[in-house]
Amino acid sequence: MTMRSITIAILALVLMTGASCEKKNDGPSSGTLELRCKATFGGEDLIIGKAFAYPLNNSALKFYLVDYLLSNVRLVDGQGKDYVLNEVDIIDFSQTNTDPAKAAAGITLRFEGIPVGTYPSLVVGVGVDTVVNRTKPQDYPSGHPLSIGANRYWDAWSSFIFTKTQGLADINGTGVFSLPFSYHTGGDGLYREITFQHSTVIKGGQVTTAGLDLDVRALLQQQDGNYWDIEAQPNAHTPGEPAMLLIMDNYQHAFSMF
Amino acid sequence: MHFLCSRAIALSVSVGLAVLLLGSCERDDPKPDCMDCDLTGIPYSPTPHSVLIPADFPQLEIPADNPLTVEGIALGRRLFYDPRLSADSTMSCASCHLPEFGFTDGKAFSLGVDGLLGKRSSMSLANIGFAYHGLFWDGRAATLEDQALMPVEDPLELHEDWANVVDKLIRSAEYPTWFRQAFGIKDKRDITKELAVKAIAQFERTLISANSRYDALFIRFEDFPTEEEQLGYDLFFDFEPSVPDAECGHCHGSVLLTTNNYFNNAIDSVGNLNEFADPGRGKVTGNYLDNGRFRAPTFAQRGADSSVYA
Repeated sequence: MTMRSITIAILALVLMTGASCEKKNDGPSSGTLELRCKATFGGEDLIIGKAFAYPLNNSALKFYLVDYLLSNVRLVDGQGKDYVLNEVDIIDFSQTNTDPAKAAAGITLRFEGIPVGTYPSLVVGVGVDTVVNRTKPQDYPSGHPLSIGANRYWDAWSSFIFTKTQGLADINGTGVFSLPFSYHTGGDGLYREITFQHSTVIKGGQVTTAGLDLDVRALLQQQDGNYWDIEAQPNAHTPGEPAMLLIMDNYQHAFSMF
Repeated sequence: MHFLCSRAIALSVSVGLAVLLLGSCERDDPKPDCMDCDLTGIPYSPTPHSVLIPADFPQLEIPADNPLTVEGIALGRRLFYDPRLSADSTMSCASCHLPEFGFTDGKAFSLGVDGLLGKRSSMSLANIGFAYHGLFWDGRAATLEDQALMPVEDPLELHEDWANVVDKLIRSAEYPTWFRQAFGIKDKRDITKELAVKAIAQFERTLISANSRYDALFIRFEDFPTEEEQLGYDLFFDFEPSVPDAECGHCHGSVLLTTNNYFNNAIDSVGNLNEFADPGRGKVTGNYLDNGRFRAPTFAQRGADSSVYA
């Protein structure tokens, strides 16, 4: 190896290392929003496999799968103009909320390059809109939230599965969690958008944080204040089933920003 | 930050120099004399190969460092069927992955070269190129290339040493030429296990199954199903509300008849998640919630009338 080629190699290494050290800062005209998504149950952090008292017949629930598709997240400025932050992400608490520390931390989505400004409202979608719901998993590369491997498509209904809420129920307070329950939602007409009047200020080169909490207990509360009878209908995965409509409508008030 | 960056640059330069110099030493270190090891007289002009993918299938994602070539696939096919990959040269990959059984062997537990039963059955390789979430039943291999390394040295499978396999390949009359044509090696002693598994993975990516009666009926709509076939389809996927849902489609959905995801099929009766004799996926991820979960196999190409094409 000649001295000349060694010199060139060193120069290349320095340039490469320099490039890797370069931080992708937002410029003075843009900033970053970190959206921290959490799951709770009646105010307590939701921990996978932990028993939570369910306000019906002295029963209790353990959750093993709680997730939802979060799509079309956007900030809306004072003139009503949208700044779109994402297409779709899976917020899956079953892999993260396995201990109290992780449950408290939640799942953070990071959106960079947002124009500086004050945005009076934030909009989030649960599920996917009808345009995206016309696509199929095979249209997406591996690793995409809608790809085949994500395992969230119903061939029978030609729809992505918007949310999954699964676990075991102790239906009469005996301490035995023997009733599996599973509520999957999806289908055209069940996509929901929720608008929060939450002022988000994006500053140049800075990170702004916001929190989005999902109270899973509130997903199961009916309009009359009573809670869904899990023993009577422990499963739902056919579009149009009452439990499906209940859950999707309830995202409106099960979500809160912090 | 600037201080850290300067230190990082200095460290990188030092390490880089060392690597470069070592690399140059290796390159300059001549191999021992070998009269017939030079392969440079054999032409190396690999032919790119495009796999024929049905329109409804997902994209076949191919690693950038292992593009499909006619020569690479041919080499992989030869290795796949070659018993020299086993300790006593009696078993090949194809001994447990038979084309007539959808590239499995139809047995609950596969028999290894020493006559010992394996812990699990051999998985189908039909459409295996689309398995992007791990290989084997528990997903412990990330890629087809990683996967192909393991059965050779598994005591319950081929129970051979890769060094021995490579030695056999180097000493063979044909393999050095085939490796040269596939990968451009200049010396027969450049054959490595890494190149061997690259070739096997190339071959496996061509195992596309889309020509079964199921595909003709329910994917391409070329014929009318019988009453029983339609009933089975409705049961499987819950298409018809008046027919009970057999719940099969949850794990065996999509055009591939699997999502290649991990599930528990409730066959094992356990008191809690830590009681599974075979923890499956949980042993790989370390998450007890994954205990008892295994990759859902595809049902593609299970019929005797199926064929594989690429």
